[in-house]
Amino acid sequence: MEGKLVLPGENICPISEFDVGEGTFAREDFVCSALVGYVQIVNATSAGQASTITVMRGNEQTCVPKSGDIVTVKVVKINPRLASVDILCVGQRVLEESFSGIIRQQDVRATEVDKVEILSSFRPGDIVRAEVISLGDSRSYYLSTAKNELGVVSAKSVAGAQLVPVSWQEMQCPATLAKEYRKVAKTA
Amino acid sequence: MESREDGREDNQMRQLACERNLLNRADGSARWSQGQSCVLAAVYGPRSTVGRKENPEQANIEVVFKPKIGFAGVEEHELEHVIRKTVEGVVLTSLHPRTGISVILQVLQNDGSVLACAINATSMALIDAGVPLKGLVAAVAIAVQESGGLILDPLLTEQKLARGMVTVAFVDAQPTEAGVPTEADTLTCTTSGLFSADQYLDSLNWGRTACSRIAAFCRVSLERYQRGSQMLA
Repeated sequence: MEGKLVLPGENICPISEFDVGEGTFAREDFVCSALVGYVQIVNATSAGQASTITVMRGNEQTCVPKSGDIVTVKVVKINPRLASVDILCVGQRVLEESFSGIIRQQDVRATEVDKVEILSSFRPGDIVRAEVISLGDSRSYYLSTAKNELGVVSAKSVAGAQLVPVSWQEMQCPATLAKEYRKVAKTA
Repeated sequence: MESREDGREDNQMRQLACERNLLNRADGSARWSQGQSCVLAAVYGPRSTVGRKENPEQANIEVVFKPKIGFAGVEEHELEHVIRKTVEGVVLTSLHPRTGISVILQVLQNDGSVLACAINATSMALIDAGVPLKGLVAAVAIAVQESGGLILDPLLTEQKLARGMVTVAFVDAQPTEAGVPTEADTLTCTTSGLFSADQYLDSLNWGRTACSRIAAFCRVSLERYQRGSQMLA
C-alpha cells in the first residue's frame, strides 16, 4: 500500500488500521485521500498509538522549518536590532526555495542578552547555524543562536579571506591577521 | 434514429481533453475542453484574506467567471454562484480556516455545455493546486429537445433549440479496494427551461453514467501526468 498513487476521494484503508494524517480525511469507515499523491505510513512514536497514513504530493517541497529544527542560514541584512537571514537548509536537507528568517538581538546568545550588538555578531554573507524558535510573523521565522554549537560557521573577512575562529567571540583573517567580532559556533 | 449534427449518438460525449499546470503564477491551473468548448481555470490559494472574507471556521471560496468576450453580466454571476457552491461542496474548507481560495475561469471557446466544462476545469485546477478535496468532481449537461428526447453534452446550436437544460455535477463514485463502488454523490444540479419530472430523472441517470466516465478520464489523465512528472524528476 505504501507508495501507491491515489486520487482525491479514493479509499486508502479501513480507519481501524491507521490514523488520519496530512492529505487524507475520514469518510465512513475509511481513510480517504484528499490529494493526488503517494501513500506514506508514518510509524507511531509511542506504544499503543496507531500509525498514521499521509498522502504526499510528489512534486512539492515537503521540508519546511518547524520550531526546534536546526537550520543553516545566510545573513542578508543587519541592523542594530536584528539580522535578516535566508534559510537554506533544514537539518541535512537543502531547500529548493529559501525561507526568510530573523535573528533578534535578544536571541543571539544565552548570557548578557542586553549587551549583545548585532554588528559584532553577524555580517551580511555569513553562514550561520541557528535554531528555529517560532514560526514568527507572516514574513519570517524567528531564529536563535543562543547555544554554544550555534552561530557563525563560515564567514569571509573584509579582505575577502576565509575567517578562522579564534574564540567564541572572535574570528581572524589569515591574510591580514585582523580580528573581527562574530558570534562563533562551537563546531565539533 | 435521427443523428445529431456532429454525428454523435444522443448519449455520447464529445472528445475530452485536459492539460494542467499551464500558468506559472497560479498555484494550480487547467484547461479543459469538450469538443470545441474550452475553459481555462486558475486556482490561487489557500492564501491569506482580509476583512469580511475571512472566516474563522473555513476557507472562503471566490469564483470569477470571465466570458469569452465582453464583461461578466448577470448570467456569468449566476454561473459563478453555482460553481462556488459546487467547489464549497467538495473542498475540505475546514482544513484551511481564515484563508481564501480563488478560482478564475476564462472561457476560451463556447460551443455549449460551458458550465459543465467550467466545473470540470475547476476540479482539475484544484487538484493541480493541491487543495484537499473529498473526491473527483465531474459535471455534464443534458438538453431536453423539443421532441422530448434527451441529448448529452449539447452543442451551442442544440442548446439554443432545446426546451430545457440540466447540468449535473457528481463527486465521483470510487471503487473501494473490495471492488464495491460507493454511491456517487450529487453535488450540483441546475436546470433551466421546461420539462417533465420523468425527463428530469432520466437526465440525472444519464448524467450519473456520463460523470463516472468523465471521472475515469480524469483518473487516467492524472495518473499519466503524475507518472510523467515523476519520470522527469
